[in-house]
Amino acid sequence: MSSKCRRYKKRPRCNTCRRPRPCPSARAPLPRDRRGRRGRGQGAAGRGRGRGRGRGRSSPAAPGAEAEPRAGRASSQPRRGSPPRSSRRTRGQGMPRSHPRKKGAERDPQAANNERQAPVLLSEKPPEREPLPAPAPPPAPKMAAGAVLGAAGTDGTRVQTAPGGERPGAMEPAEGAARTLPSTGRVSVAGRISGAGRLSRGPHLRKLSGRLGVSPSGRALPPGSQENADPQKIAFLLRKQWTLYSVTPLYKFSSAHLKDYGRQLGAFIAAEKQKGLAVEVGVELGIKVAVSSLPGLKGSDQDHAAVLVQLSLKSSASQKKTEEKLIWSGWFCCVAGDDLSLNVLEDFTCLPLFLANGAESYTSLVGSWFQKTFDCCFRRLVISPLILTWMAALWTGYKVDKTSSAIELVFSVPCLPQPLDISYAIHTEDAKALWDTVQKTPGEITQEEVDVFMDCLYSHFHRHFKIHLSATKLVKVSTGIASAHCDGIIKFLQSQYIIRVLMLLTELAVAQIQ
Amino acid sequence: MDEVVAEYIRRTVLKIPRDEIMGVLRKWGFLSETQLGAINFRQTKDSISQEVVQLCEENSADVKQAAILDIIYNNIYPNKRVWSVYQMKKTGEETDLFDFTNFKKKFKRRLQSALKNVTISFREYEDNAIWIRIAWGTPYTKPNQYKTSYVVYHSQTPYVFISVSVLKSNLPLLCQALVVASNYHDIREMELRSHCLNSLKDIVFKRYSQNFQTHYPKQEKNVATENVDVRIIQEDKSEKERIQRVNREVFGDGPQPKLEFAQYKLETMFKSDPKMDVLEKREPFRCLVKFSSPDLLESLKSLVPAGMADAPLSPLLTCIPQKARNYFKIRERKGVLPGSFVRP
Repeated sequence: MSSKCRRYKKRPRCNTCRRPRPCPSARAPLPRDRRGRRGRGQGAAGRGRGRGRGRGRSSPAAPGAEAEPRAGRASSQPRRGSPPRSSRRTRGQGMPRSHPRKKGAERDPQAANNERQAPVLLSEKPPEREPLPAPAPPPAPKMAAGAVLGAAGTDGTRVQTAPGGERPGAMEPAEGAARTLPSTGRVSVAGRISGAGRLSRGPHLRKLSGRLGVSPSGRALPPGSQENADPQKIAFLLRKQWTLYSVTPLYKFSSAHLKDYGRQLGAFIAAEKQKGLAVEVGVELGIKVAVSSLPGLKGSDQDHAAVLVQLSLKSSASQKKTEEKLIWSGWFCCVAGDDLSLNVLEDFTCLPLFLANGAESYTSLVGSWFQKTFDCCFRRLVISPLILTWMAALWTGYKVDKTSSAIELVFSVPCLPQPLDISYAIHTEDAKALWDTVQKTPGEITQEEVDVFMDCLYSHFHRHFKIHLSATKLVKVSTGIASAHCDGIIKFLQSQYIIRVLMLLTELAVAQIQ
Repeated sequence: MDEVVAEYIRRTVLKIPRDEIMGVLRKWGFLSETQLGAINFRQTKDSISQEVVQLCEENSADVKQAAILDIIYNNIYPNKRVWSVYQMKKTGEETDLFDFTNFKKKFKRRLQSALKNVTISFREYEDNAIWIRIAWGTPYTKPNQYKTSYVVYHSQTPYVFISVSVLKSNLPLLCQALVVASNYHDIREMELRSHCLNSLKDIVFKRYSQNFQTHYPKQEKNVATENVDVRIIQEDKSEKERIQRVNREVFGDGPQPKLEFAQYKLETMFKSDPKMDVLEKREPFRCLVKFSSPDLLESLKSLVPAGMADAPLSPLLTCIPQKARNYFKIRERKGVLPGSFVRP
């Protein structure tokens, strides 16, 4: 997709954001004669990361190294069937760049199609990410159907987080190497590029910050929702690590047939095991699948009730008794997903957020079954440092009964000869006092307030250690309410606020889908 | 031979990398050369360990021998445990000559009078280091060989390196026995902890390259001009050089001792930019900052050239080797006051 595409003399541009519209030839399934073009545009070797365009960076190597990979990119890329173009702005691969205002549904099967067409190497994680304080999720598994279930970016935007922008494409070794070089001698980092506060706002974030422009007491929740969330019933959701995925709307999913789905999924998993494709063998009788509905977790009546899938291992402890041990759980939910559900056609069910806890192999099995059966698409939900700072500010403001834990921010500085992790924990009361003085406008939180809050914390740190935290990458935020990791891992700690956290996560998922 | 002992020897041998097993067994000296020669090292480690156990059975090994093997293993691979540093104090200037036998006797007597069921083993090494291994039991059970603590005492110095894996409740007892046996009066923890025993020794014995405020001659400048393209001009060359110089002054030239973490408990006041119009509290702003890295000091050293910190780096970070501690409590004062450490 370039300005030299023969289809257009002058690229048509979106009327809203002025970005060039994607070339329609890119959307068609791979025709043989166009393979050269296609490889150029969205090759499996994935140039896709549009990395150069984002104004936000959280690693100091990047601005310094930006010049080199740009030049390097033109020359070192293996293009198939076309000469290298030096100033090409690459787009993410696979997904046609759609404007968020456009309808979601009609695009989705196509998008899913595109995702499936482009064979994707999922297992490479950007090298900078290595020393993670939280247990790093394993690389994305190989899916049986070849569909995508892997690291993906909150795209559609220029919000770039780490240099390892989270697109499902393999990083080119040349670029990766260029990027992990410690700063090539440029000490004067142009302004300290903040990974957190000063990112440009793509359309996604504009919408999100508008949406989140709420007071810490929360958006006006629909009246029925809080009581429905029975603390006992959802207690099992707390204190577990959930991996987040965004799911496109499910086609012809009906909550009346949950038991049938459970049976079919069970049969699928058993078949896969026979094929030897999945999981361990042992003295077990098999895996039992239970699909049920979780009533209390929705934001409004328009939302579809949450759906819970649980896998238990049946094993015969004694002759008569068979024990069932829960080995994997996953649940779909939608909390206040009005944006998506309004735009969706009939026959589609909107459950954009999927949370999984358990072995990665089971996640891929369940995910591939859902993708095949309901023609949806799972993608890892990645939380950018900007969103993490919002979470930190937002959750600091919530009132917690017992001030047990502190607000902890974990920063990672990967681009050094020896990677460094910095954990900065602030006492809850002091952080809340600071936030209360910062957050002045009642009923609304603005980006400026979050920026000021983070700047205060950074400057306090700088006063002591002379280190610019804004130049590092924020990877994890933990408060008494919940803890979130940038790889898309969340842990709920208080049932009281679970709905609000889910609301935020649903918005992120919806933004990633669109 | 006791089953427990056999299993313990087998597990210890399994921990050793295959190529080193011969060397370790030789150092142990319990098996004769012919026996050692009979072991087939081409099989799996499992089988090798079984063979070793069989040979030990022939020689009737007991707990003491197994303990010595364990000390030797930990002496060669000390970095698998976390070591903390303690310093002993003595009042007065009497310098008695160190008598190893006396030390052993006093230590054993003191420890066993308080807790009967312990296994104590000693081994002396060339650099005046004494390794002590203690396997803890309770008043009612025999010593558990897997619950061990190790002590490394350099007899000419007041420093002791202790690795306590579990059963921290026995630590005061251990410290008391050490103080009594070595004729000191007091012992205190130095807030210095790491996996790398040699680095701890370097820090405490001041063996790392310290920063001297000397002027380096100009030709010291690195020959970094290999294939520099003439068209590339570095804008801030002088700034870079200043940073390198300051960094070198602060950290010294040689390799830094290897620490894994540093923890700071901050209780200072929050001072904000007046124009930001935020928090003006009277109470301190309580924070806990932890730095962790495979090699902490090296990564801190490279922070400034990477552009993420100002030069010179904060003295809170650079004083770690000099003050010989990596747990700090910072209170509001004119400067920094590392107080007594309170572990969260």
